[in-house]
Amino acid sequence: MLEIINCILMLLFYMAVYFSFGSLVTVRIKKEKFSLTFALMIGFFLYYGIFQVLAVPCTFLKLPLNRLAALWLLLVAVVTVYGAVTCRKVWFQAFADLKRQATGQLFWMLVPVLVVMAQAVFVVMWQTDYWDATYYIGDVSLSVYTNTISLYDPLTGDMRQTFDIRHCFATYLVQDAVVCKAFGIHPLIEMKTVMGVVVTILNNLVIYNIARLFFKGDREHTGLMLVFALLLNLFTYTAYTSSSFLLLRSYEGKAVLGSVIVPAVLYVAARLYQDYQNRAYWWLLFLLCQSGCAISSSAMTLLPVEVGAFALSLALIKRDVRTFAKGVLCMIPCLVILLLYVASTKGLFIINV
Amino acid sequence: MPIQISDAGLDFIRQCLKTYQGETCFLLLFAGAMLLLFWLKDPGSRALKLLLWPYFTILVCTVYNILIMKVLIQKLNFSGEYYRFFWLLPLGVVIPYVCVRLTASRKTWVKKLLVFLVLAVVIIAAGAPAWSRGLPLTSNPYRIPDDMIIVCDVIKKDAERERLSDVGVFFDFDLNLLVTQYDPSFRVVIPYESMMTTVNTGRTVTDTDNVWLNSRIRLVELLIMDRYWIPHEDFMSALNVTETAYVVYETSGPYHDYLLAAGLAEIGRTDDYVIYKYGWYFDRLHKSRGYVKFEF
Repeated sequence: MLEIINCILMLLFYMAVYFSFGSLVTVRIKKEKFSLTFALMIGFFLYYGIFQVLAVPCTFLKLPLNRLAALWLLLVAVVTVYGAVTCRKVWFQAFADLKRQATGQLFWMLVPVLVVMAQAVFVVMWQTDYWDATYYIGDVSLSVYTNTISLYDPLTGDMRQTFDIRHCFATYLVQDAVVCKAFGIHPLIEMKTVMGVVVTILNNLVIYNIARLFFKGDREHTGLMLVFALLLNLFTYTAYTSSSFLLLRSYEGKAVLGSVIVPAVLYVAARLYQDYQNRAYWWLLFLLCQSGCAISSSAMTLLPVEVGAFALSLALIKRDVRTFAKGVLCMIPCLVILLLYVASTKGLFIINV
Repeated sequence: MPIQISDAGLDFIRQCLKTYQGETCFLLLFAGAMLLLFWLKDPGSRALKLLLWPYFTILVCTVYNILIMKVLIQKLNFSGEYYRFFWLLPLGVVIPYVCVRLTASRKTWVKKLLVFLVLAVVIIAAGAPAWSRGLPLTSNPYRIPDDMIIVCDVIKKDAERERLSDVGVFFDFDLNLLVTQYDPSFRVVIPYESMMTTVNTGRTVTDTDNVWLNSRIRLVELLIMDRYWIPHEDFMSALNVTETAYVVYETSGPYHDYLLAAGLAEIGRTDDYVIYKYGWYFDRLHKSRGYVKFEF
């Protein structure tokens, strides 16, 4: 029972922080009406984007995990409180609007909530023990136990000789370790259950925002789309689909990449299709690329392809070459990390522990 | 085993796609949904079509183009990870979107409900449910087998009683994968990598002269791979070299008598595992502490 309460508190913590982080950005976007779901979605990416900026130097400096945890919690507290103070009026307005809309469309407003709950129950009910977890959860457990930041190799149990360049920029696991250290939550509970539900919520938020965009805010159609998306997630199981990662291996950054980041890029691309000269959306695309690399190392190859393909499509549709150039600029975080990774495989970029 | 481009050649992407889809046919649904976008005339569908068709065409010409990818995959060596490029197909958006359009275009509620049910059945029939993997339902908040928790508790209590700080344990295969995740305070005698290499290659100690490595291979051979040609003294020597204090062995395993004869004593059991304590290790430990053994 205590574990369930802990999980719920952790979920509330994450949602409050993402919401505050996201609000600080979305209230500043021109021609964009404040949206609770959009703020939550952007907040998630901003959270991981900023965390990477702090965690990577701490990793290379071999700082103890508890120091990173203290620094991060302090920063999160400051940003969350600042967000709450500066955006409170917008929040009250948005919640009042929501309440007003609920009078006529309560059923269709509840459908997304029910879909998320159904998917979340599915995510947390299984005993999952994939071999990959030995690396991913083992890394967090060892970091918490040894009070280091990924200095131990979970596959051998020994201290690493050199930093693992492929994974050390993807600080998704370090964030889990930080939270486990700070709140005393067990890594298995944090990674499998708490993050499982967080990723489920985020996946549905992205689909919800896409649906709102293409159905012009029609709640019935949006709710229905989430129901179909749930069915599709539940029934497209093979070992390789993003849905199976989402439902059964949510402790891996890849689950977020396939089910949250990749569709989020599509969403931002659709916004750019509407208004390709709005700088804010290009910045959001940049943020997705940067936070994508902070979440999964696979983002360094996948996101340049996706962003490049969308940017080229937009350049063709809008007949504007600069659009493609802007897309390439957005890819810079991925390309830099890809370059460092390739250099490390050739022995040109090696950092000893 | 992932498909290797060196074996598959120009057929690589097709083979990957086939493996990716498995027994399901959701890629066919995606293709159908993409085509239906041409038929739907509302502004949302037109926008989605304009956005996704050039994107899809670019993907086909680049990452799904074997002539380009052949060079890249070989240079960067990512045959095993190539399947992730299929995540770029927006099937999680296009299929539900088209389903909603088909449902919502009906005039009456009854018709809408009927179309919804038909489409739901199509999705269910075309796919495979996530529970088809046969995962057990969880019975604890860590979502691992209860055996892992019980085994760790038993060993921890015994180690505390013995005032043992460095607890070296040989875990059976499945528990060995989990123990670092659940409780990293144990020293896992066979690290994941050594275990997997030995199990995957089926190699024997004769492959190498390294005593440290040979000892681990010997333990894996006997306790995980059930190879019964190891004399007791070799087995005990392997336990000594690896400083193993406890052994967790499958209840259904064939060598319980062998283990008892090698000086191991049962200290606990679960439905699937027996926990042994290695007597010789503790004798040596007690001697080093200057304990006197009383005989009655």
